[in-house]
Parts: sequence; C-alpha cells; structure tokens
Amino acid sequence: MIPALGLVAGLVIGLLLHPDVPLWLQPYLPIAVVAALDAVFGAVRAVMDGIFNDRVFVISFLSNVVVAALIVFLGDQLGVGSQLSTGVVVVLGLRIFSNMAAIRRHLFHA
Amino acid sequence: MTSTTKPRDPAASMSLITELMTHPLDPAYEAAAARRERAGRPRATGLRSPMLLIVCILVGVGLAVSALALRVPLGTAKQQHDQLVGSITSRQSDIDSDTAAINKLQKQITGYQTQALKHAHRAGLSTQLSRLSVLTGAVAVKGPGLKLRVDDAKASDTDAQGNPRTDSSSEGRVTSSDMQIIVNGLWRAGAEAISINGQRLTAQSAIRFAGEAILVNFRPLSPPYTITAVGAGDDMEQKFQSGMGGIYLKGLMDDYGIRSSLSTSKSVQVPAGPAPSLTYAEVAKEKK
Repeated sequence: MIPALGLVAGLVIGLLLHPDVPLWLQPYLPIAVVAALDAVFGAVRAVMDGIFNDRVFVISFLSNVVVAALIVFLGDQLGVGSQLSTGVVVVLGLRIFSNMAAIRRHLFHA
Repeated sequence: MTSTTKPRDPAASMSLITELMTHPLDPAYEAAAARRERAGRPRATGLRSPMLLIVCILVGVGLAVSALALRVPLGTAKQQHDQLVGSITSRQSDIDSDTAAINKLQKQITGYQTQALKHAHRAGLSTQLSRLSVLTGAVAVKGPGLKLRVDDAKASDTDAQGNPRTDSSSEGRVTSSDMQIIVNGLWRAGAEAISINGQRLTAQSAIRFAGEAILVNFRPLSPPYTITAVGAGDDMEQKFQSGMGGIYLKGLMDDYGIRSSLSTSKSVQVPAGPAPSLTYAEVAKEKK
C-alpha cells in the first residue's frame, strides 16, 4: 500500500512542480521511463510471488534506468540511437508483458 | 575456458526471447529469497522500507515529468495543419478573385480595342485580333463541342486521412501522362480550344504531375476531370474515339477501371486562359 501511495504522491508532485527538463536529458526520458516501469512491474510480480526484496528492487530500478540511458547515449554516439532504443523498448516491453501476465494470473487466476 | 560439465545447449545464445518470456522476473529476487530462507527469515521483505518509498516517489515523479515534457499536445499538429490549409484556401481565393478582375479588365481592354479599331476603320485588323486571341486562349470561346469526364477508378479513393502518400492503390488513378495523351488525341481530332476543369490550355500550358495531383497552368486539379473541347461535335467525337487518344482511354477503362463518359453538345464554353505576360519575347522582323 505504502509504495502505491508513494507512486501517486510522486505523480502529483511531478504534475504540480512541472519542472523543466533540460534538453540534453530528453532523449533518455522515454527509455528511462520504460526501464522504470519494467522494474516496477517486476517488483509487483515479486510481491505476488512472495519473494519481494526491497534492496533488489531499488538496485534493479537504478541499474535499469542507468543501463537504458547508457544504451541510448552509446547508440546516439554510434548513430544507431533510434534502433537501439527500439531494441530496448522491445526487450523491456516483452518483460513487462510477461510479468503483467503473471500478475494477472495471481490476481484473477486466469 | 573451463571444460563444461554439461553439454551446452547449442541454441542457448539464441534463446534470448524464450528466456525473456519464461523468466521475465529479475533472477536476483529468487536468489535473495533463497538467501533469506537459508538465514531463517521470511522469503519476502516488507513493503515498509523508506528506500522503497523514496524510489516509488522517484518513479512517480519521473513518469509525470516525462509525460509532461514529451507529450506533444494533441491539438497542436492539427491546429497548424488547419491553419496552413486555411491560408492556402484564402490565397487560392485571392488568386481567383484577382484572376477574375484581370479577366474583367481584359474584356474591357478588348472592348476598347475593337472600338478604337472600328473608329480607325480597320475592321480587318479587328477580325485578325479576335482570331488571334481565340487561338492564344486570351478570350473565352464557345461553340459546338464535347465534354469528356474522366475519373479515377473506384478503388483508388484516397485513404481516410485523404493522404495520397499513404494510399497504396494508385493504379487506377488518372496520371498527367494519361491526361496529356487524351488531350493530344482531342487536338488531333480537330479540337480548337480545350479546357480541363476550367483551365484553358494555351501555348504556355503544361499538364504536369506534382506529387499525386495533376497541375494545369500550375493550378492543381482534383478528380473528376472534365475536359471541354470546342470543335466539330460528332465528327470530332468519332475522330477522337477511333484515334490514338480514344483507344488509349478505352485501354485505361478496361485495364484500370478508370471511369469516363463522353457527351457532345451544341454549345460548350471554354474559359479564357491566364493572360500570358511576355517580358522578353518580341516580334522578329521578317527579312525582306
């Protein structure tokens, strides 16, 4: 419950503060968000499986975001930024969907 | 490296997608749970750690910020599009009204010209002038003739957005070269003046393609195309039908489903063309 409240609080804070994102950071945002979502869905599934570990979650979240940003940065330097981003989105998207499927099985037994 | 104890699955390096689908969860969770179990603690930790809360707030802020920063307001693109379309239409209507004014003035000039010539008792010059202006398309003409309606095939309608670029079925579309062949057929059949959708074909007219639109006199036309030709009515129709243009058109109809209809009329009107502005050309003196 508390993490969900934290998420909502974060959303509200972000919406209210409406901070300006510096231009150099903007290419990394979408990938970082997808990576963060992947970590979040993984955590939800872990909670349902009964093996949640806060340390693992925090580390996986941070490493996901950093690696995603790194991949985009590297791709931009090599001139294949959009292709690499697509790859990252596909892989993370697959993970999100299969985690989502597990969560669904837990929740609805279907 | 080390000699493997178990023969490796030869496809192991290619099982990325399978791996992703079957074990989407970070393996660290499983490992940590096993470690905690060995230490005699419950497999899962609680959800009350402050670190977790901080990260959750961070995720929330990140989501909100990126949504705000990256979202392209839905209306903006459409607004700009509408604005551009609006300015095109207004310019177009400006051009139309200017053209109408020019034509009116031209008519006045022609009237004064005939009057002046009549006063000067040079009727021969007057008839020559009117003949030449008919030939050059400077004045509207009417007379017996035919109307030929050509339209794209039914299946080649533009897609929902009206964007011909995303539309793949361009087979049944009338192209500029079709139009050129048909018009040339009409000239050969004895047409004396031709207009397409109200655009008079003059010596300076070109039938061109710009993207998917046919341009005549640099004005884009939209189907259906109505070709009006002044000439010897039925005779011209027969000549056209049996000539190259008619045969080509029939081929278009049979092979691509392009629709066309031809009707002769006792009196058709062909409007004047855009006034040609001659800046450099002048009459060459004939050698005597």
